[in-house]
Amino acid sequence: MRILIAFGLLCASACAQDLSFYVDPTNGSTACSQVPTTLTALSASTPYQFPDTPVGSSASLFIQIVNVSSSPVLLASAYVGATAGTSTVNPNFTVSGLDQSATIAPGSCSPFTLTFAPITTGSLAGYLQAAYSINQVPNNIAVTTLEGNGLPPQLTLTCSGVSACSTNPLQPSVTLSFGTLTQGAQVAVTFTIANEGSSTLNTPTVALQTAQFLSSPFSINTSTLPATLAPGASGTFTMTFAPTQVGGTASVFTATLSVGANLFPLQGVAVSPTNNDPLQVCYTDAQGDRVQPNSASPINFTPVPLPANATAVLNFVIVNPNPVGTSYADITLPTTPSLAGGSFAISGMTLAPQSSDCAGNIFATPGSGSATSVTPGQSVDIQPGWGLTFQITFTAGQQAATGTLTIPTVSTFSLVGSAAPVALQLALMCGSTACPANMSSDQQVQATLALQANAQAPSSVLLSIAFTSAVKGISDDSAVTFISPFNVRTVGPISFTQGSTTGTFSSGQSQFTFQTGTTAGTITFTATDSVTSETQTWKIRIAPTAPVITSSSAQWQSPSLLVTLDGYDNTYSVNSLSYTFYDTNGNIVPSSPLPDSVVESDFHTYFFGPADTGGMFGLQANFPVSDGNVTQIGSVAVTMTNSAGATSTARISFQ
Amino acid sequence: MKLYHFVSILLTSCFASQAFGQVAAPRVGAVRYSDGSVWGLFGVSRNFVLNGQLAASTDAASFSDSGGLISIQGRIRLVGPKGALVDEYDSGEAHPVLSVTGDLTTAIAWLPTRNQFVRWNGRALVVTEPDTAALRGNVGSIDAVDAHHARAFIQATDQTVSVALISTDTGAILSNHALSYAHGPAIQQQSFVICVNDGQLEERTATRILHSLPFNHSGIAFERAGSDWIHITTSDSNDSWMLHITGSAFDLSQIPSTPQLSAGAAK
Repeated sequence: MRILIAFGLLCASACAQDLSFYVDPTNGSTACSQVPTTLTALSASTPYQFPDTPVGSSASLFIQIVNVSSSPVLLASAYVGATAGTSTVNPNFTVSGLDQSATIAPGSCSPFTLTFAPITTGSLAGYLQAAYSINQVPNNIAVTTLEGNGLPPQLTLTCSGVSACSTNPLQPSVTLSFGTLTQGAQVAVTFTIANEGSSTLNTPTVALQTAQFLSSPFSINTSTLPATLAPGASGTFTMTFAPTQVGGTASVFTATLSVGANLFPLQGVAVSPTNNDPLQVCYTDAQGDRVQPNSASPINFTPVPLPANATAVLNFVIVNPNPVGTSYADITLPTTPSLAGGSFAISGMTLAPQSSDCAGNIFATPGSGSATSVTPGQSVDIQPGWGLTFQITFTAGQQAATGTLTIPTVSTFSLVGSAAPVALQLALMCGSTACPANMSSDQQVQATLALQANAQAPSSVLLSIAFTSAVKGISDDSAVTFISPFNVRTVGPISFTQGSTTGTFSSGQSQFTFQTGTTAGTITFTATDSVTSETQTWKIRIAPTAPVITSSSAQWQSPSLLVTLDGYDNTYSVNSLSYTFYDTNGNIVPSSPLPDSVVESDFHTYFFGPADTGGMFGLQANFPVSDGNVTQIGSVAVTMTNSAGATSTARISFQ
Repeated sequence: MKLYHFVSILLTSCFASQAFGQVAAPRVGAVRYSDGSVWGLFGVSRNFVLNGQLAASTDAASFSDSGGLISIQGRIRLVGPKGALVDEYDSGEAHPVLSVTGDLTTAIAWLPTRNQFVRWNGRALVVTEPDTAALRGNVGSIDAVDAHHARAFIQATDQTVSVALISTDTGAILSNHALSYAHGPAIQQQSFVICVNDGQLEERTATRILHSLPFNHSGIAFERAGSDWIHITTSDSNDSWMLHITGSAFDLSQIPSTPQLSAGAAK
């Protein structure tokens, strides 16, 4: 690179007497002696306007420098600065062809070419300056202001084949990376020049400039480029980076691609083949992302548990991540991957070229060739850029499952899949119909568990019965229980054999019997799947009722009358009890009623005492007869009242 | 064997005074399960609750509301209403037929291998030897008719049933006639016969069926659990039933299994 020396003071007027700059439209054909008289001089006060020029194209101006002094001038440099007096060059303007060490004799000429090659669009300006010395005195001269208008490019350059091509179209001076290749590998990049203008253009000269003393790893092939490009047409050429030598572990190679006047720096890195990468394993998850598993964490096939018999498939690939073409980086699996775990199945093993490795790095040169299926159990040679693909399918059962994927010489991975619990779809049957939601107290009910239509059968269930009392202060009724086949509150297992919709106990018996007790409340049945713990419940309401007298008797036991009642009050609230006696002719025998407070108190003491018999009661009343002639009393009727109502017996005959 | 306490309340009736008895749990009686254990049972028909184990490894049992007979390893024990031992007799009988229908004077046992009756005469358990030649067949049930007579239901191998009236004083068989309506076990309940006939459980007289219920089982056996309760077991089911018989009721209910039997069956 040339080093421009900036001077602190420009001699815009005084120095103009030493050198004059003329625009030579004849490109040097005009004799030097005729220049001052026939050509136009550039003026510091009048900017020179270049024609509008597309980015990527250029417009040139032939300039003659004339020594108009009486002394020889030693020319040092001429350049276009970004601002007046600066040593920073304006990249849109270039000076070429100047003999910078020339001594110009008085009256003699020295030519150079001034080029406007915009690298961007819009109005652009530069300042043509020159440095020289005369009579051993250095001078700097501001020649004129250069102006030009950069138009959108007519020619664009794009590429494909390496990741750097993602910045298309390519910009001059921006380094294009061919990536990192293992020694012996190569990558080819295809460049496309397109004419986006409205007129046919000559295809610019395309060349590779290399600086290596030895043969460059870069090479170019322009044989397919056309001579001209019609509007909208394009031409291609290829460049290949194929490093064959590496100094140490890595070497950086550079070169320059010239396309017309535009220069594109190139770079490629080569690494020693001793740094081969091992095989990579990855799979594509439900979101389509590639995941590299590790042996410490299971591979989960089911972010959401699956219903039974549903399947989840993960696509796996074992990739050789080494650059394509590095045959010494082939990796062999001694045998294909294998699975353990009955819920998992492996299929579709195929050896196929890959476009990227498991980390998402796109191969500079994708593997090429046809995919071939691989027989399970055989050894597999995986070339760089290739991969062994396969699918693993998880089929959900009724519970979570695990498995193991073994990839010989690589790793072993745990597999997990979960199954959504299958909701129980059973029916609690009382005979041939579903048990009703409301029942009465004091019932023994024979029931079965049946599968609902088209429901999936659980392996087995346990059936429990629980009771919630509606009577305040009473929590349970021990009579609410299964009594057959077992006198317990949980029976089972009840299994559903294939082809049968009715569950059976291990004895083969399907029917069970439960009691509804003698307490108002709610009976809850809960079936629990023995495997999945899924539950299904049924509730049966036992409504409050008036007292029920289940048996009664009346006896003469001279000198008393004995009246015996058995029954239940499922509200635990008996609050009134009356006996009406009749003589043998059916006439009422007058008597005073029992005080309700005594009745209520005695029943309350019994119901809420230690007896664990629900709302059942037995009541025996003894009535002494004053004259001892008990046979005068023929019958008795009893009325009992609780919070739900009253009940009366028919006349009970004394015996 | 009701265990009620009475509290008298004097009323103003001209010829009757009224007493209100305290309320108690309705007690069924005692039931002997297939494993020989005897359990107290509370409840009304269709709603039973076990009330603790009273005995284990019994050979036979019969209970009324006033007491009961229990045979354990051939030793027949007469117990009172609260389970207290009244008397006992070592019969050496593995399968005696026992009956208590009312107070303890109704306690009577049939010893089939000895062809003897044992009954409580109010002071002791005494032996009566009937005319064994007349008692052919299997004595399924007995009961004391009065202080001097016993009744035996005899089941022949062809399932026909006859009933014999026997003097417990002399052992003489006073009558013996076939029950044409019974084909299987039969038992006397107060004035009626409980028997099985063509898949029906019947309460009847010689000429009339008072109540009947379908009950189609084999190997049926009756054992009295209380004055109004008869425990029924069968050879074709692990379930057992309780028949409640009163003047108006003839109810058949299942009874809960014991915890031991439930645990054993669940294994």
